[in-house]
Amino acid sequence: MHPLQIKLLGIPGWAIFLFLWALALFLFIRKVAEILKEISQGEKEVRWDNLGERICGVVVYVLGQKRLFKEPLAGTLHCIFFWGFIFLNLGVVFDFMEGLFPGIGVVKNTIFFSYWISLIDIVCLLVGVGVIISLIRRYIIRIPRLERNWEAFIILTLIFLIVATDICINGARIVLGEMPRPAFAPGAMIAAVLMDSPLFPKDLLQPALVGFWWLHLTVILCFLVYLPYSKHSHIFMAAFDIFFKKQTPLGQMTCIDIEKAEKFGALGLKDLSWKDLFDLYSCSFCGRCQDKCPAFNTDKPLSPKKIIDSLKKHLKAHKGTNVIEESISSDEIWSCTSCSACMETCPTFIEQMTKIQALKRGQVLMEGKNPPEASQMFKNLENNSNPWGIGSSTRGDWAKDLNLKNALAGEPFEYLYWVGCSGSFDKRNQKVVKAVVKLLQAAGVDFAILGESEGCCGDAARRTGNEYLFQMLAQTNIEIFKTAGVKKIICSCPHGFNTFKNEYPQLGGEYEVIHISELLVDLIKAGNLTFQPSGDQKITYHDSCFLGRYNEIYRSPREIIRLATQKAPLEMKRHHSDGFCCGGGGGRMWLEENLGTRINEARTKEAMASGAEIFAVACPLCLTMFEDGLKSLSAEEKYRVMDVVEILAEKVETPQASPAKEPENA
Amino acid sequence: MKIVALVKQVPDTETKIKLTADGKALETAGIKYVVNPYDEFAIEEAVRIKEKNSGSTVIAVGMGPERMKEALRTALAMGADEGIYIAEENLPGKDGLITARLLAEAIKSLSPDLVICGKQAIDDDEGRVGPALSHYLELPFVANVTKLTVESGKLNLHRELEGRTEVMEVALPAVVSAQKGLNEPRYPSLINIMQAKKKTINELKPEQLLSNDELNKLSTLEETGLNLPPAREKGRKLQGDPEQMVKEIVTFLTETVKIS
Amino acid sequence: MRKIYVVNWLKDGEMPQVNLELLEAAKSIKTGLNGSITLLLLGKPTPEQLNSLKNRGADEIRYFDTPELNQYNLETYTQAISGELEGSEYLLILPGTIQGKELGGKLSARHTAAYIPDVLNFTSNNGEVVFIRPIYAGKARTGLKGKAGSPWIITIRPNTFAPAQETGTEAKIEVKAYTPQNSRIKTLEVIKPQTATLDVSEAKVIVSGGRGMKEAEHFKLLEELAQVINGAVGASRMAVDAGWRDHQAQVGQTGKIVTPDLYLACGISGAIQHLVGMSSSKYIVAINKDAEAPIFEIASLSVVGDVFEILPGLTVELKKIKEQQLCAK
Repeated sequence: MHPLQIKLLGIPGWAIFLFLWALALFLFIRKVAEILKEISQGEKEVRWDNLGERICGVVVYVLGQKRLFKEPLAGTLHCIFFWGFIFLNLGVVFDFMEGLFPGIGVVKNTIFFSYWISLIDIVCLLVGVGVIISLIRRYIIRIPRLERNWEAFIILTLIFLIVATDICINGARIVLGEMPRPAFAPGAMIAAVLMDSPLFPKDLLQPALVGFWWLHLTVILCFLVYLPYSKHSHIFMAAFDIFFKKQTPLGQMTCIDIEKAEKFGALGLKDLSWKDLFDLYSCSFCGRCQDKCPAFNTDKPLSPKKIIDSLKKHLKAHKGTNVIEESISSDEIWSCTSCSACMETCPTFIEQMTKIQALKRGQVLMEGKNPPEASQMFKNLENNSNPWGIGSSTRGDWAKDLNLKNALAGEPFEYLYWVGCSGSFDKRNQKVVKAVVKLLQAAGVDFAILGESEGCCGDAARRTGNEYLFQMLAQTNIEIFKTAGVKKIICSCPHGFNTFKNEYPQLGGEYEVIHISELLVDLIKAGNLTFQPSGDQKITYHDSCFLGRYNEIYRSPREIIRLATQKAPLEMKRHHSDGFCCGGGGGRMWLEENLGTRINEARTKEAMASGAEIFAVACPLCLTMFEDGLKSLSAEEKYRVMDVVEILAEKVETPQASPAKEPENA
Repeated sequence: MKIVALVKQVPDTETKIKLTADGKALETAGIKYVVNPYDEFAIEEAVRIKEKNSGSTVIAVGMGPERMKEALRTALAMGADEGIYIAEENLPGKDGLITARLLAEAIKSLSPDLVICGKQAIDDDEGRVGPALSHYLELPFVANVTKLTVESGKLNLHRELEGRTEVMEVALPAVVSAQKGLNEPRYPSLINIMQAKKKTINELKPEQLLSNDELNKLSTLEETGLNLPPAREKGRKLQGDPEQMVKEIVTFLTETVKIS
Repeated sequence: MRKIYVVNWLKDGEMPQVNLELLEAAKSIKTGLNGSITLLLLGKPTPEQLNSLKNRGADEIRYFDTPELNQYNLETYTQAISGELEGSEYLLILPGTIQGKELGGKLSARHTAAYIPDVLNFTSNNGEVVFIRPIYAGKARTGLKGKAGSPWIITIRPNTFAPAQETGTEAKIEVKAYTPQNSRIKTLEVIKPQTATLDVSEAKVIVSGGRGMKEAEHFKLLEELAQVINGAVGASRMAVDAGWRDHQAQVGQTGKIVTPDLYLACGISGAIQHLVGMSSSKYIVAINKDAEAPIFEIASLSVVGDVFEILPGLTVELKKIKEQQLCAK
């Protein structure tokens, strides 16, 4: 007899069944509708463009579970749960249909069904084992990023019950003869054997089947209703979240139309976009983002996971009030270095950094509240176009004896070499910039500089939340580029590189932007740059966040080291997209670091542990952070920090004045 | 309380000082103008007093060329409620007395409780407008204030002298000048800047305040010429015997630096 | 012919050296102006103090035997001085201190006088005197002439002129009375901070230490030196991070931007974050073991040496000189 065919207090099983389903669906849908309503409070944003790319994203990241495999064991477990969930749902549908239309039951005698049950059984076993391993990881090994709270425990228990009851149902059916033995269903078979044993009373078999079946149903419906009330809303939201993911580069912040906008950045939840709010319900609080966050790893109060949690709590409490200070402290947002490791690693493509940046903007643009050192930096940018406030008239002084072409002097040129603030004013970075000039000249590249007319690219202002100042600086530069006729820009600073490439187009400035490392590799391959490779020192390369994660340039700087020294560089423990921030981004280079331990010291120690004697970088901020790190660790005697450009320039002979080259540059 | 903050627009501190080709005046091309840094302390203090005493207003007053109005907008963005701009035109000279007298005429009718200015303008470094203004307004004056509290009818303040601090009490209404350390001037938010665009700046011309005769009487100075001091010599480098170096340092300190 | 008035007052009962310097300035300008020098001494000097003044070049000394004038007060001083000025063609010389300048500004309005503060020097040609003063924080200098027929008021900063030496002639001495009036300004007390806690923000002299000082203990060397030359003690970010000094003393991009007359950098390498905090100092003396330290690029005097070998000797020498100066008074 099918469990649905029982009668309880005179009410037929199918009626109870339908009632329970209706109730569960009603509660589920009602809560989901509530969630969607909360999400709709957020600002408008188009996240359904580029449909083709979005569908591909779903295939790779939802069906393929790609990002989860960064941690192989966790990835495998999650895959089991994800695909298991899908298969088991199909099984549930079949049972549902069979109960209402028993005729479907004939399918049971087919070979197809036998394989189907076997598949379900194996899935149940895998899921069951998976739950046990998950419980061990969370509660016995106590992996730090996995929270030990009731929600996790309940869900794991419910999942276990679902698969356990499923196995028992099939076992009971086999013993009762209602189902032929499946091809290969070890779980069901073991259950069958146990229920067929003398220890198990025969007259309990039918009640057991009915019991398991209704228990199975109840647990599934409880699970269904529980989902939207817990962090497991993730289960039905994540796939959509991935569909709606950010398609624009990580290095591109949204542009605010200063003239028309009514608000600038976010103070309350309504100021965030609907996608930001959607993220809050898609998060499973797995903690991978927290694991990668440089602030969290140096004892700062910031954790990207906690940001999502705090925002979600703020939303659930229906607070229309400002987020900062009420649910999230200003220390938390100002600790962010904009390294984007959180966003790069999140399997659901949640945008933690985007929200932090929106909150920073709200604080600066609407409240006028920012760390006092940031105010000083903003004033310096306004008055002298560099974050240190050094006289702008001295910006070109580093090149005064070099006779470089000036882009505004009327002579044509192919590339603009963008020197940047660090390169222009910081003595240490001036050496890097001079090395770039040496290499460009040796390779016969036709370039010009702006000298005194160069003004900050605005990256520091934008990352610190001052969108207004950024746009002013950018507009000034775009005008100058127009006057000078700039089409191609070479950058040695990843911050300038990132903003010219990904952000200036938002304001009408479109150029071909090249990072010096990529240009050099091309020049070497084309035979335009000759040098004497050599080197017996161990070198390790540190990936700049703005070059690596933001723009996926990992190969060329390493290639330069390999070509210059005939050896590939050593890798630190965390490298490539997993690289650990130096601590200088997000405007933090100009802010005090008073909380926790120093990020740059942590990364310097990691570099020291790699066994290298030279730390190679491709960014002036990273260079400063490493050198400071060595100083505070009192290790500057034993290690050297060099830009990859310097490593290559060392191998190039200083060119003598060559008459043959002059016509090119004239 | 009604508080007046005096504002002047000056070239940014990092400006490279150059003379025009004829050597008679300062080369102004390419100069970035900012609110006089000491005036920022004054504006900030005025706004803070307003915030502590509800019903108070802050009026930013300044004299200068057209571009001066930007400086007044900055003051408004920092929290001043309205501005008064006196055009610097048709004046018989750049004498600070003229500035002080014109400001006094503009401010008199406001009957302010407190007038705050910066300790000096970083272009002329005179610090004279404050005390001169206090004479024309017939009010007491204290220079170089580093701490200020308002009590009914009087000010309790600290002011910095050379190497010591004077603790004083001044009857209101009064004029004071602000020294660095008085407060940390706020950086206006974008919202503040946008609101400032809507606040009023009253524009006045000197002839509305004083007759030509009176202005002429106030002009008592004549500028004969500008020059740039010799460029700072590239520093000397000392190496070698510590005792010898100590002697050279002492000579440098006593003769060149002239420390006491 | 223009009469010269030199205004002096006592500082806590002591005679500051600037008083003698003003007399010296008056003496040098006397010939150009063809006038006599009257020294107005506000407050009552001791017999010794009066003796030290009477043959330093003034033709006449007037002092006030009124206790209320023994302490500086802008309003009473303005009254007292104004009461002594005769005619409208005179030169009034005030000390270029905070008090002197506020007095100068006030008097210039009261008497519609040409006002020239911080005079460095002057040139004299047929009775035409041009005063030179610094503008733009000393980056430029301007020459100014006072109009004939107007009074002229100038202030001179301490250490601009040498103190006047004794001459053969004695000044005529007159005691004046002054009827005190209620002032709207009251001085409640004067606080003299210990030089060790003097704030770097507006200190004229800063002795600063960085990583090269190696330990918190060694900052005592800097404190001793600072004491001798009336300076504040500053620190680089490295020293503050290491806990050797309080954040109040931090000079640099994220600390304080300072503009002293003298910045003594000890064991500081001069990374950009520190340089932006002190590069506008008038004079920079840097002591560092590393000959390539970036700070040497902007130092007026670079000393390649060990701070521990240089500082003690330096302090001793300067102490000796200070003692000599005090004895001379």
